[in-house]
Amino acid sequence: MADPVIEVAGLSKSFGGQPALNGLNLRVPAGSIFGFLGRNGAGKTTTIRMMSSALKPDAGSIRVFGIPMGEPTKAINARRRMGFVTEEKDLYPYMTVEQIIRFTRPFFPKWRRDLEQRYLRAFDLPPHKKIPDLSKGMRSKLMLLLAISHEAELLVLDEPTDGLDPVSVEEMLRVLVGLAATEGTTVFFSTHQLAEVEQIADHIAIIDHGRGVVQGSLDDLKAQYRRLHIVFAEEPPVRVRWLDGVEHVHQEGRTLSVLVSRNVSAVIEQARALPGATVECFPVTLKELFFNHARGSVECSG
Amino acid sequence: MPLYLQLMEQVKHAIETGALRAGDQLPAMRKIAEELVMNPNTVARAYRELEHGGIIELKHGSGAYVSGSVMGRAKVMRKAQAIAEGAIQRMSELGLSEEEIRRFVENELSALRTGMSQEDTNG
Amino acid sequence: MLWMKGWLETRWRLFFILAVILGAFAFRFVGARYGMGVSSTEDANRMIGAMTVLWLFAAVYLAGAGIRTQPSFQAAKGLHGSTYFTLSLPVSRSRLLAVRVAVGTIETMVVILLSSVVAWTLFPLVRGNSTLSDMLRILFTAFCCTAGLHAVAVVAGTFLDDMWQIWGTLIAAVSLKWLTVRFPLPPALDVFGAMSGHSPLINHMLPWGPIATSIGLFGGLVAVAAAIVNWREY
Repeated sequence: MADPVIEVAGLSKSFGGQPALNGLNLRVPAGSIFGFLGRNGAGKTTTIRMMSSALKPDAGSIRVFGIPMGEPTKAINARRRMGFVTEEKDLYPYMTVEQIIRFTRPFFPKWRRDLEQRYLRAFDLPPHKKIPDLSKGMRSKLMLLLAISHEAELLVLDEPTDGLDPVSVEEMLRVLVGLAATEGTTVFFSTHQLAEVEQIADHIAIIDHGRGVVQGSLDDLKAQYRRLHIVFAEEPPVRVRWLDGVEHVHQEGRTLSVLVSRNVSAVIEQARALPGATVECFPVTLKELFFNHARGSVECSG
Repeated sequence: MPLYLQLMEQVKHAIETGALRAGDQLPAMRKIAEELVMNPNTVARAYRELEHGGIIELKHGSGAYVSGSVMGRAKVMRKAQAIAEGAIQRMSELGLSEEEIRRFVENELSALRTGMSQEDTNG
Repeated sequence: MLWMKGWLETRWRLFFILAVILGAFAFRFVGARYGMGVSSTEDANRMIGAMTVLWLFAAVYLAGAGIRTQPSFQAAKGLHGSTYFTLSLPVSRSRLLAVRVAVGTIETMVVILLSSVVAWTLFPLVRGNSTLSDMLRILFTAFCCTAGLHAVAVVAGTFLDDMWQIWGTLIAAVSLKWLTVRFPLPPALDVFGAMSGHSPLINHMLPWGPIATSIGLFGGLVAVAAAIVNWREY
């Protein structure tokens, strides 16, 4: 990969003795639309807060545009080229829409008034309304407007569609896809909505208990992973020393469901060789990838 | 169905119905991505597969065009549509029910598969 | 624009304090005909004392919550979500703090200036024999001597929530004042005295000792606040 826009290596962070991040690695390619998936509490927001220097790493490093983000002042040059949508879509409660735009403008030399106006109209944001009087959806759109009106090279979005109605979700996704397609903007977003990721992302990472468990191009992952459905005539063998590449095995009655990430043909051979086994092979959906890797517990596979 | 396949089906369907004709230019990949809210790489993959199947041609620098050879297929499809419409119309005028018409069609199809026709067996 | 944010964030607090002070003046001024006015030097001294206390309160009340967002009147409990927005901006935490401190300091000066001018206009006994240069000296002394307490509140604001910050600072200030009664401060350090008993009202000179002490405290504590704000995590 040419220099990744975001590079996270061995990132660790604890709060009061409780580990939130535990050796996370991430490489976000330039120009990609990158979906960051994980259950609640898995570490998504902590990671994103490190990208704005609100939090500093206990161990490991996090770099954006090659700039280490652990030092808030040194990281200013990076933040100037980024746009953020934070988890709580809160902005200053004593400002109106128009005021916060006026407030934010001077921080970004590349601010584009024409983009600001275009999005103000497109998102239908009333300029003189006080921010706390806006619905959550409108606040999200306002935050997005602030993030994209200054030609940001990288957008970091924490659940940007949270609380939005389906029409607004589509609208927001369309804007993101448009930016990636026409400006080459890198879009890094965390979400629970697998459908959104399937629709617009070309790369994903799944985080579980503070570590990355799956990462890569969505096409590659889908090409690479297979689910084997093995039905046994009698009881399935008690212990199988599965080959490398088997990620997870689930038993239900006389059926074994095996998730394989590589070495597929060899594993299929191994499965067929088991006594009384009938083996079927299926492609893996993002949902299965997510459910198998973000179960919140570790299961042994042989 | 994977998104890129869906897009491919849409393009093929547009060609079959005549909405896209031989030599017509397809919209730019970026524009499609934005309009359908799909990842640009997915669109690119669909275009590549369509080119691979001979359905479109990617001319470097100027865009994607429906290839000339597809025309035949669309015409054929339109002809088939007309035949099907006429046959079903006539059968129903004879007083056949929908179920009976369907059975006739399926019998003919399976006869086609096995290389015989109903006429042959009944003499 | 950070100055705009600072103003929008603090203006209701400023208006509140001004309303209290000017309201009290209006009361005493109108009440003069009912015997509730300022009619003796004791009355005048008490009013000056009360004003001084209110200035100190203003100095604490107008100090911010570090670089965190401080919603107008609600007690700022913990972190307001918009603080993360602030942190995502390409601006140093030091600058964020510096502007906030400047806004609070200027607003405190406005309180002192306005209340002094109104008091001197409405109540001749409070003005006493002060000449214009006396008045300027009094103002300058008050600006400088409240700065020290303001900086204490600023530091408190970098890690304490609203109510704790205010009460904590005030209790610290009152305790200190009480201590100085038991263990009198040398004149050079006596910030409290500079604003009352030994004020330019009486001496017709600037109390350089206390002024320097207060300014030194201000500089040092603001530097501490900046260090805290840069070091801590949100």
